[in-house]
Amino acid sequence: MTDEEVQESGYEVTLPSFHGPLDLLLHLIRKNEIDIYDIPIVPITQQYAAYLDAMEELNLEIAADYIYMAAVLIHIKSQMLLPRDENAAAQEDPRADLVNRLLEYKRFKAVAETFAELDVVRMGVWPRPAVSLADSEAAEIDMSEVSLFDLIDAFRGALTRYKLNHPQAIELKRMLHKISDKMSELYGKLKEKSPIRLQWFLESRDRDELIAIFLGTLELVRLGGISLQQSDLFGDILVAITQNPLDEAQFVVYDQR
Amino acid sequence: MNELRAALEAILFVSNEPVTVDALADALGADQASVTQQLADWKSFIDANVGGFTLEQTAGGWRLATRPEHEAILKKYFAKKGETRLSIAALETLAIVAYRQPITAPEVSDIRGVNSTGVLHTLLERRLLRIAGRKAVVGSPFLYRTTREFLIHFGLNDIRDLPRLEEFGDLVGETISEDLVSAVQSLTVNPSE
Repeated sequence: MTDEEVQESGYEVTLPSFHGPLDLLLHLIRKNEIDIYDIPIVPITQQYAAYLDAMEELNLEIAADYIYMAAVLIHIKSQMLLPRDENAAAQEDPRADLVNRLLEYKRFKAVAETFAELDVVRMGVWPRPAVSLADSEAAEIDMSEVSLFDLIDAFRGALTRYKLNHPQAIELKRMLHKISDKMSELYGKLKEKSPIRLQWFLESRDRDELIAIFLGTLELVRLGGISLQQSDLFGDILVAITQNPLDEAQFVVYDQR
Repeated sequence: MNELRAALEAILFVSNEPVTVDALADALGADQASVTQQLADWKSFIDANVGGFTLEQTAGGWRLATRPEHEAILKKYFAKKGETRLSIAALETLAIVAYRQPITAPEVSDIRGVNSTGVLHTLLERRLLRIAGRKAVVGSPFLYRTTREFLIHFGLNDIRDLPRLEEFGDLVGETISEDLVSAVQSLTVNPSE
């Protein structure tokens, strides 16, 4: 919702921005100089609907809250049309609920306007800047005012300090699986039997090993020593040796990369 | 100049948060009545002789702060952008929570006629509201309350200083009277009471 100034220069020409359906209803009541305790529901419902149409024409998104209020108005209208039982003296006016809501909202709207003026004035008041007094005692903290955000800030601060004081050690693991070994292993298997299913070759190996095999396989394909085939999507991948013999001694080079 | 007054000035000069009369009396080994008297004297002295800042009573304590008229100069000198003004939606929501606290999000939305969850969250982030437990109804929704920052932001000494809600009855449409704004403000600047 925007803070556009409400301007009423002409009928249905400018569309003031409203801060909700109750705000729109109050505007209509004021504009028509209607007694809020005796709202003529039929014309107000029509005007309300006209505003929604106008909003739609301007391609403004009409929030569900506005549509709900339209339904409330139509419901009241239908209740008003029903014949009243004159004998039931204490029968409640179908508009009572809406009137009470409007009056309540109107009050808070007035408070908000006062707050807005205070907001402007107080924004110009600067306190002394926060100084961090070393060793100041925690007893001064007002515990009742610790919000979730303060707590998160505190944790974030502590974590940041901890990280600064305890830089994470860089762990260098010995390379468990050499790419060259895996290349030799796969190439050796293929010399015995070709083609083989890649799945079978990968069976029961751990993550590090799989990575080495993956890289080794790519290298072998690049060297033209093996070829990969897949008959259909997601199907088994077959690995076959090619007519292009490779010198296994050169595999060692790939460990340097 | 008496020593009590001097010591009190020293504390408030260094503090950036409002300091309560209680805390001052405690620190200075003086009784509350004389601390209050000294604060009042100092305030009238500042207001009569000092232009750049004032002593204000807010959120149940006392602090030194600048006067609104120097906002532009301060912003320029400190190259500060300044906080954005609160939106109408935020102000309406604050108004409702201020008078109806503790209150849940659905209750706020109901009064405004507009879903107010997002606004409430923004106000939580700005520390003007806080979560004060859950309501014992289905879904146990959070209950919202105003904070000390809220009081400081609007220059209120205590939430009970807010004018009665009924006084706002028929003001919509007309511009809010200057009297009311100054009435709210004066609640915090009259130390002699």
